[in-house]
Amino acid sequence: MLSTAISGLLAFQRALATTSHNITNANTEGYSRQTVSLGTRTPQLVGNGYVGKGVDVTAINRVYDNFLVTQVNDRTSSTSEFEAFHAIASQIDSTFGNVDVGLAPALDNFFNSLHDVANNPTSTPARQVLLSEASSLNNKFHTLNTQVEDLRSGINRQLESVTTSLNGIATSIADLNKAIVTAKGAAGGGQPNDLMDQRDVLVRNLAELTNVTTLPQSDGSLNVYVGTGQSLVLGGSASQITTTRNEFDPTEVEFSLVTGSTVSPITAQLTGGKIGGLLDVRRNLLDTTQDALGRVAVSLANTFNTQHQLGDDLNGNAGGLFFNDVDVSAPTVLPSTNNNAASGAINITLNDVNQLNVSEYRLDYDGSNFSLLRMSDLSIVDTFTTADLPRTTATEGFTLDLTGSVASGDQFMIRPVRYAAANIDLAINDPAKVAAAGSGNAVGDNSNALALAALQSQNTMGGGTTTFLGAYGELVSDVGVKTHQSLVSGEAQRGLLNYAVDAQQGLSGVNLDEEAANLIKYQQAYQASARVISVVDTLFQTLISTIGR
Amino acid sequence: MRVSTAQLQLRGTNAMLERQSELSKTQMQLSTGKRILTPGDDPVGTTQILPLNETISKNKQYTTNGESAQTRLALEDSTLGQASNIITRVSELAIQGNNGSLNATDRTIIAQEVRQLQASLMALANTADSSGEYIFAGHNVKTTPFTESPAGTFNYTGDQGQRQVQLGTSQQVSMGNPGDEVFMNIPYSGGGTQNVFQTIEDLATNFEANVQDTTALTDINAALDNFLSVRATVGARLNTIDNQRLVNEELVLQSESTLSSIEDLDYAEAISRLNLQLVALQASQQSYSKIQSLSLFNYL
Repeated sequence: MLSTAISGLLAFQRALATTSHNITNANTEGYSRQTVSLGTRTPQLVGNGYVGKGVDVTAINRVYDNFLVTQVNDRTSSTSEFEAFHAIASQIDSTFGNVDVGLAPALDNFFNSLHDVANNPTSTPARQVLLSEASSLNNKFHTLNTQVEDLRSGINRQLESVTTSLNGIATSIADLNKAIVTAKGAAGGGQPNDLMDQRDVLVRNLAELTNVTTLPQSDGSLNVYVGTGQSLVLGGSASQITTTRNEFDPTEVEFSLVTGSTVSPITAQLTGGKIGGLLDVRRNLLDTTQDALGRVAVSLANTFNTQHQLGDDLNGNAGGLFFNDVDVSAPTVLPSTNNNAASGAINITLNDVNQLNVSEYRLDYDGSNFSLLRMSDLSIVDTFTTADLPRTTATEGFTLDLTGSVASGDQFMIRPVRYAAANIDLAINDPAKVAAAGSGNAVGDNSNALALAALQSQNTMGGGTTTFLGAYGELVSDVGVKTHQSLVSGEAQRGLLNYAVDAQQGLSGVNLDEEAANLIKYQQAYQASARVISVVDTLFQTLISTIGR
Repeated sequence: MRVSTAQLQLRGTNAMLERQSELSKTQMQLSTGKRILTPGDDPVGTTQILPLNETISKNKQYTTNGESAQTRLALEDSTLGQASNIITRVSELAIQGNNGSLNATDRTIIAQEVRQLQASLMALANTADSSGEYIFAGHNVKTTPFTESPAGTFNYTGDQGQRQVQLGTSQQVSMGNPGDEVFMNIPYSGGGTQNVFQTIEDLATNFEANVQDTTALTDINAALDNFLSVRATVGARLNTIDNQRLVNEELVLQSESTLSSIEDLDYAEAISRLNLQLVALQASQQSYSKIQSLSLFNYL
């Protein structure tokens, strides 16, 4: 009877300890409430029956549902993906669409100043104003482009630092795996609940960075996979992710997975989380924004220069370039670092700026054919052989040619307009060199100035479908739509995440009122067991006093 | 459903944060007066804002263009007015000089005045505007268009160019008339055309020689007619500019009101929304503090 009462005291002590552990961890991130399972001891056979021998703590378990935790992790990934996208997109959105900072007002002012030259073609001040409006238009191109560049290098830095924390988390998970396996062995199968909670927190931190899948093992360890099933943590050993550089563009940070001595590229597989969001915004917003801005710069420079050269300047000389020849200097071809060492270079010339698209292109050579892949919609827009070179792809507005030779497997990244906004500049700084007069006409003629001013309203871009401002407007609205979408999707995912967390916390979270009630329950039970001991004592005293007399 | 204490607290704070973020947005809208703060707020609306701004800017520029043409045409108009006055006076002198009762001295005196008028007319034909451009020189605005050669002939060194000004997307108007059209190519009684300076020169030469000149009057009147008809086209162009200005201003007004309906804030709606959001925030704050003060531990 005494040992029965003592078993109660010990069990309820454990239960009270667990309850107070729950109470003190009510605000601990990732903590799952723990419950004490009580069971009767094996009874003792006495003559005609069994006498109970008291209570035992059979297990202390955390209240946990793997499905709910996985759901929280998945939604954490999607939420942080959209939020990372939106954080970058909203910055582009607010400058490109801004009435004071965006390109549109500078474009308007530039063309207005052309009209002022047309109104007074021999006036040097009017010409000077035109040149300074053109120069501030160029500055707008530069500023907007610099903003995209700054965000791009910011993303690269973030990807580097995210990699460091990702590797740290992977190592910690592997360490915890080891500790859990050991602890479980030492406890004869009993779960180290708090260590498992800590590991879940780490997995969720990992899910914030990228999509993860997990697979619990029978020994208590947890395998963690990223991307499309690439293993990051297997039991007690963690792989590392290293940052590498894009094969075409060394300024772009990418990822490889290092397992032992094997290094495999993993960028294309990494989706979701902050990494997924940053990669997505770099590819689908920054790249396209820069291409769209560059396309306006190239078209403006080329179209304007062509008309400008048809006129005569104030000295009666034929007009020269007004903007620099950014349509010649900006188009760029980047060979892959994996190309055959002996392979030559691909050269690009623009042959019709009206046809240019907002895209970059990848040129692949398979040993007999070139195929030109438009990256904006991933469609093959041209196929040709070396015999066809130089090759003009009319629908894309450029001509490609080869210097040297190519070998099977060679790849080239072609960026017809990406670098134009950074490099557009004025070719003249002498106001007299503005060719306002028609060719052969005297200085008072303004017909070329009028023709230049009329370019504002002409559909000189997108295959004759839109104006300079129209093309810029498409860019602004594309950015606006993507920003809006990422905001709405982020909010939706945040809502879903909240539901998932509610469900998970509803099950596993600590409720202080419940713990208070448990505290009372176990306290009373403890008191009752103690009372049993005092009853035993009384019985014993009774016996002693009766017999001892 | 079971609720954890931490979650209960988190929900309460999240609710307050959300209300505050909505409030902050409404406050931004109210302080800027704009419904669309960035294109992301309304991508569809934004696509209309840029072209509308362009239309406004373009049409304001067209109005400026019109004003600059108006200045130039007004100068031409008044110059032609003065030229008409001079030619009218020449015509009076021609009638006077053809009077049979005049003697040689009288005619010489008249001839002197005719020559002065001829010089004034020449000066008018070589009028330059405030920026030093000759207004009757075609495109050759930097060279004196009308000169008299030592041999006594009158030459026009300008060209036939006419500067256009853009008044609307597809509307252009000439800012002036080439000088030969005004002063040189005037129908001549002797056949073909003759310039007005030569006509006056002939008249003066005849009167100096005490010879009556009966054909001069016809040619002088032809010159006057020419001035008047050129002046009429100038007046018509000034009218066109005025009309086009009204059209442009109307277009600007319409665009501005469309723009306003897209991007400007409906204050009544925004203020009632602000009030609603304030109430919601207050409610979430109050419910938070009420709920947080409840605990079974209070009774232990």
